[in-house]
Amino acid sequence: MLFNSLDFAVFIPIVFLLYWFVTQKNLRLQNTLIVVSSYVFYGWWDWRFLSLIFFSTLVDFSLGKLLKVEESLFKRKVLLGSSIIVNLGFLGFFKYYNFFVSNFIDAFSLFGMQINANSLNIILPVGISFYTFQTLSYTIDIYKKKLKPTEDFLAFSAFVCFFPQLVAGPIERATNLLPQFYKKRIFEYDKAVDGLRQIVWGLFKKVVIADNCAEIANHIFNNSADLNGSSLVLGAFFFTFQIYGDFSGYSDMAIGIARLFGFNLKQNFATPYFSRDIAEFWRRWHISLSTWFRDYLYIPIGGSRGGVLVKVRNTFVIFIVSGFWHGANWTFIVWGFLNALYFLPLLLTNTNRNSTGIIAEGSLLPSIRELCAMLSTFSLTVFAWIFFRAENIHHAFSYIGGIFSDSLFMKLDFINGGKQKLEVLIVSLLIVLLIVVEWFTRRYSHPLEFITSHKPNRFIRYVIYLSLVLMIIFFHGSHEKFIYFNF
Amino acid sequence: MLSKLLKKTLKFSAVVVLTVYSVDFIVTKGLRKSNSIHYDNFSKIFSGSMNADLLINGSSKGYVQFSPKILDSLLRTNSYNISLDGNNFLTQNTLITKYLQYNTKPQTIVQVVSTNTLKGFTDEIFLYEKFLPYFEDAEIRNMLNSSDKNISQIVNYLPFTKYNGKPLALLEGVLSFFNVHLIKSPLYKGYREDDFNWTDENYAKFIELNTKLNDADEFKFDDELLDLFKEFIVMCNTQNINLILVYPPLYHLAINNGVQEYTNLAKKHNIRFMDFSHDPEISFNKNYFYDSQHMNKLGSEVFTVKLSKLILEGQHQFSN
Repeated sequence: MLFNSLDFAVFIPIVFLLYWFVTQKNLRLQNTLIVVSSYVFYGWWDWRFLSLIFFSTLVDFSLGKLLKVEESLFKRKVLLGSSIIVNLGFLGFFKYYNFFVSNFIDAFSLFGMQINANSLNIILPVGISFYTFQTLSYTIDIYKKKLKPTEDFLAFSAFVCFFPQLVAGPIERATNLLPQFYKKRIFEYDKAVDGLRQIVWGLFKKVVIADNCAEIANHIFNNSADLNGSSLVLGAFFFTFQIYGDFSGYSDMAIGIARLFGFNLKQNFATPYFSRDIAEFWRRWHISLSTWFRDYLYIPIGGSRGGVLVKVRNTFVIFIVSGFWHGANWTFIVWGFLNALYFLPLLLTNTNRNSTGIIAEGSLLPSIRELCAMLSTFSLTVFAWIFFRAENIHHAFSYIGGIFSDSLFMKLDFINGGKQKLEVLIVSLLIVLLIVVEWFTRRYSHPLEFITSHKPNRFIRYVIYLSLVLMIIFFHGSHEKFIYFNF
Repeated sequence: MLSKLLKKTLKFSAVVVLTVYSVDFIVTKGLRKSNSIHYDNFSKIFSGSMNADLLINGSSKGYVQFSPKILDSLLRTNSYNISLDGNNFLTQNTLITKYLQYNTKPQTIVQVVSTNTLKGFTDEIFLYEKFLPYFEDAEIRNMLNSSDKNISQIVNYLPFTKYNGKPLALLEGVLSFFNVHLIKSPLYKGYREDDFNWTDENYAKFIELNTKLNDADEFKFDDELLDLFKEFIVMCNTQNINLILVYPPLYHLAINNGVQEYTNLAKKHNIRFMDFSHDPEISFNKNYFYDSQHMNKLGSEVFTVKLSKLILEGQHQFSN
């Protein structure tokens, strides 16, 4: 079930009303409703994979309990290893099996050896990369004795399958989300209203920005061989905003929906395209995944401790694994590698934590230096997204080759006629609107949060809400599924 | 507190619905009187002001290749080209049905036929938004619902949401409602003059692609469309409308699928079928085309003159 579907528009009010009017007096009932509705939400896509979630829940709940009582370090390691094997085993099978099989065949064929290994027709369960990481963090935290295992299977089930963030994050930590299932939720008007505002803003980013950008970006990427360099640059630019609108829009909706039900999820995006360097970008983009990798991969393998070579190795490991997490394709690995390369100068000069605060804080506009830093970081990001979007490595390199050709400064050739020109203009104006709004509200977790702090009068509030909703209704693009559902 | 939120949400939803409904009303009224390239023919057809004696109905092969100016002057008639770019017979049939519903009956219909006329859709109806101002019409609605890519299901339940995601139609509808017509249709009686030549680059691409095509590939009409086409022929016969099937010229290397099938249909129903698909005077001259399937302005004029003369002389070609 997609957040921007008619099915969800029917589903969410029903669950909301049942949650606050029928089950509000009983915590277990509320949690049961969350589990049931989450399973319906997920099963709407493919009910067969509910067993996978249930099994993963059961395994990690049981292992967590065993880890609590087990004192032997060896046995604790075995228990943790079991959790990692089960979770990553599922992920490896469903997501990476065919990738490894085809690459092994290719590798052996280089040496003239033919291997008969069949790829399987595997359907990737939606959200498997997200919920496996969430449950993994639970057992790892218990192993590290940072978290006490829960005795409440219902609360743990709700934590694993909580529908707002089940299929595309934010990847929550048990330390933050799980305790919220132990306490009775009380309806808070201001929190719910802010949640609704965040949902509207997320929906705007998804259906107005991302879906409209997708139409242009898809057209350009699908016909890249026939288009000139300037069109290809624009294609990468539109994809840059497509993926941002798509994923951050989803995260905003997830956080907003959770707030409607009385939960607080962690912020997942913080205006990443205003970053002054690539290190800042990664502190602002998909924060829940970046911090997951930092805490459960980067630090355990040594982090920034040790010599320069160790730091460089660890940086490449985390970026390449992060790239591979996105999909079983060499394009994602190269994308991760490229980001590691971008990061390297900052690491070697020890300047990767230079830009930590809000850009141009207290100023209306950025300084020239800040602007240059932002634009250069943005350009590097746009370039890297080409690998992310390309069908395969060959496509990515031919796309880049097309950009850096004689036709780079030629008139755009993907536009046919005035209608398409006007459409591109409208989408560009919508992107400008997004940038302007996000710039002036960059210190908030989402732009409409300024209403909470500034409390503009009712008329202005109404105009803002109505404008956004009407733009969502009238300016929405083609119904694209969320990109991150593939990961 | 919870009831306060629900009340406010309901109130806001009511304002949204009212606004969307009002916008729909304005846009529909506006587009129904629009004279821009996409809506002009429809405005004339549905307002009953077209009333042509000779009607040209077809796809892009009709739209850019049959000049009413030439037909009018040579045949001394009042012709109109209602062809729909990028559409097959499903939409063409719906439009002609609506034409007959709102206008006086034409004496002659030139039905343009080709490979794709009776082939099923693989995607959404091209520029289906032309039909949206007439969504209340059951036949139009059914046609738009023939593919789930045209309109979302919600539009059937909430018709006032039909322009959602169509900002250009919205803009044009609102302006047209207030009689602001920014871009008047450049078409002459529905005909688009494509005054450009086949580029060497595109020609080379065609030759490369054409060598890969296999003549032996099975060609088959869509059964439902074929039935619809037969019903259309019967309807014309019943209403004493002179129906002429015309297969316009293709570049001589392009495959002219369907000629035999159209010939058989014409013979069976005793109607005229004029096959110009590989016309010796036109199809071999690259200068008459801008691609293998469409003639440019020069080729279209040469062709329309030839067609007019043949109609006038009462001559016709039956394919063998």
